[in-house]
Amino acid sequence: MKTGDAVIGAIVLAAGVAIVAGAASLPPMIGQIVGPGLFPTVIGASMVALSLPLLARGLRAPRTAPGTEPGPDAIGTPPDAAAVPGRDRNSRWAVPVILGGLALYLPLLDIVGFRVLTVLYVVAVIRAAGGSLPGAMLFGTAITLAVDYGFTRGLGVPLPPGALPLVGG
Amino acid sequence: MDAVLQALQMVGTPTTIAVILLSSLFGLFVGAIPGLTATMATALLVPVTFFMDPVPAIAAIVACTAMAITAGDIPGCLLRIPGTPASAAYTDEAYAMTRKGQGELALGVSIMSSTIGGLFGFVVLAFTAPLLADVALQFSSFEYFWLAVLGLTSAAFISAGDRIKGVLSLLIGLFIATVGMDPLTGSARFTLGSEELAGGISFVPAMIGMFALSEIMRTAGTPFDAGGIAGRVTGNPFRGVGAALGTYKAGLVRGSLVGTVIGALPGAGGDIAAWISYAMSRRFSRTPERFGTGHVEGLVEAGASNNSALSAAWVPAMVFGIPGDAVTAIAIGVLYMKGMNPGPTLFTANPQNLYAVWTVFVIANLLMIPFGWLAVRAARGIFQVPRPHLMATILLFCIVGSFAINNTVFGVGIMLAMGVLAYALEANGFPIAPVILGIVMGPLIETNLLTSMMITQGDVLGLFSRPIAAVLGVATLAIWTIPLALMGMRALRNHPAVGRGRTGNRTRDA
Repeated sequence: MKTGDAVIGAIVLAAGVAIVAGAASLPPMIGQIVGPGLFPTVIGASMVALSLPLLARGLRAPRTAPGTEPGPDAIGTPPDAAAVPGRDRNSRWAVPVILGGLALYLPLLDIVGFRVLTVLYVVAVIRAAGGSLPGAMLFGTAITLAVDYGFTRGLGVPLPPGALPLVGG
Repeated sequence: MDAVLQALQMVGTPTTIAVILLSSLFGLFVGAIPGLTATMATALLVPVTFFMDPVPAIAAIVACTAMAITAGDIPGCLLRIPGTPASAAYTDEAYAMTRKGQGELALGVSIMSSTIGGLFGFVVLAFTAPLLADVALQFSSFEYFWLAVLGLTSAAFISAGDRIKGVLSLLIGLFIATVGMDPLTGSARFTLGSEELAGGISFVPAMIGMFALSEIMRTAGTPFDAGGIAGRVTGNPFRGVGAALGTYKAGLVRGSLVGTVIGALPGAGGDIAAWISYAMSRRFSRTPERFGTGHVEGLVEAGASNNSALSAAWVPAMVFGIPGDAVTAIAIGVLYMKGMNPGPTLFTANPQNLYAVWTVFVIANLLMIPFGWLAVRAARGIFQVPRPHLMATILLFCIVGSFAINNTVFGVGIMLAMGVLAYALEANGFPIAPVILGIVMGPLIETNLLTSMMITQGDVLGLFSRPIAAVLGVATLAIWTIPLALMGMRALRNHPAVGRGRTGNRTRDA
């Protein structure tokens, strides 16, 4: 996902222009000089202004191999201070499964229901991260039922039962 | 006095005590797992606090964070992998001590110096916050606007790495805060016609996505060896700690002081405090050559520093509603949700709530001693929790926590989008904490800006019309302009044409 400063600068510039344009289309406040568009305009204009040095830096900088630029992990954390070791080859599918699974989870939750869908998702994630299938199924079922019970009965948050009443309800 | 007694009664209820103990255990567990941060622990805890009264809700956050930061020292010491970024500064030193057979001492010193630093920060909070609150009562929208902008400026400029990217992170957060209804007129902004977006981007799923999902993505499939050296630490971690703290008491006090000052600055958290204190410890040490070889001195100072910063970050959070770090940004969100709006009125309207939260600070810091001991004893077991199962469990809590905010799947979508955004930002060197600070502070800044501009009838110079506002405004502008001016001067000095001119003058002079 690492991108050069020139590309980032261009994205920020486009986003800033879009925000300023969006803010300009907002209706003014009757009888006032300021309105709902003022603050987004300041934000968008600042993004445009900051995109320029990024663009300039990106265009000026020599091309570097991907992954060689340092970057902070969190506020105040010098680069690599909280670095994690390289990914295990057996679990290189973990991130695609996490994201793809969540993308599928969103439209299916109300249809399939929390229990069934979550067991499937947890099993998929554990498998993708290198866990065994029997263990994943056992753990997935247990943790899903425990969380469902805790939230539904303990905290009063009804989780979607889905259209599969025998299993989901 | 009545308020203090009421506060003690509130904290003394079985529910609050149980919440403190369970949150401490949760923080201890998450903090001790390499790669999982205290901020992530707090983010995951917030959905559960919806269902609590205000005092236990805040107690949960205070206890969990303090414990997670302390527990973060354990994997650093035993595996050379910092449990949280706040432990990174002295991980090598602590690990070197473990290799020398002094692992127990390293952990004991970390626990005790964290406790002392945390209590020091609390004392500063208890004494300075009411004084500042008296001043804050005189503040109008002008002062609040500049104070918030100054806070965010510090957050963006103090963050490590690229300043431009730090400020951009902040702007992204501020933009996210503008999505939904405008606070004054109720106009829908940037909602793309979505009814759900008209309600704004909820801070809880956004925060869970940015701090928990992105972190899971970052660390997914990264194994670590739990065996080996972890098994060597079996003795009493508190043996010899008193002597070490006595020998380096000046460092202990200095670390606590530095951490308190840094923690009170908006945007600067325990991680920055620990790095600075470790560097100062080496600078002022009589034996700087021993640093890096497994020397306890730096641990004493930096360990006190990161926990005192944690307590001190609550000073601007409680007095002005301006977060000191990412954790207090989350806590401010919880305070608002619970009707304990941060600000000077918190000290006058319901002081018993405030005193109750302070009591929790003391309890949480004292609990670090027995719980820290427990964590050291249980370290091997914690490290051996299977990573895939742990990851799936955290993801499950991310989903349920994001869902619970409005009981809609839209929250899970926000969490996913924000997680991917944070992952992409981090991969490109953008810090994440300013984004969350921007989301939390956006409405405060916008409301005070618009109110002030309406009073001045659109005159920007009117924002400087009150004395304190003028001082804060000038300070903010100075932080922005001085580095730019210095950069310009440096660029001018290095410019070939200027360089030639100077050489020519010198030649003529000669």
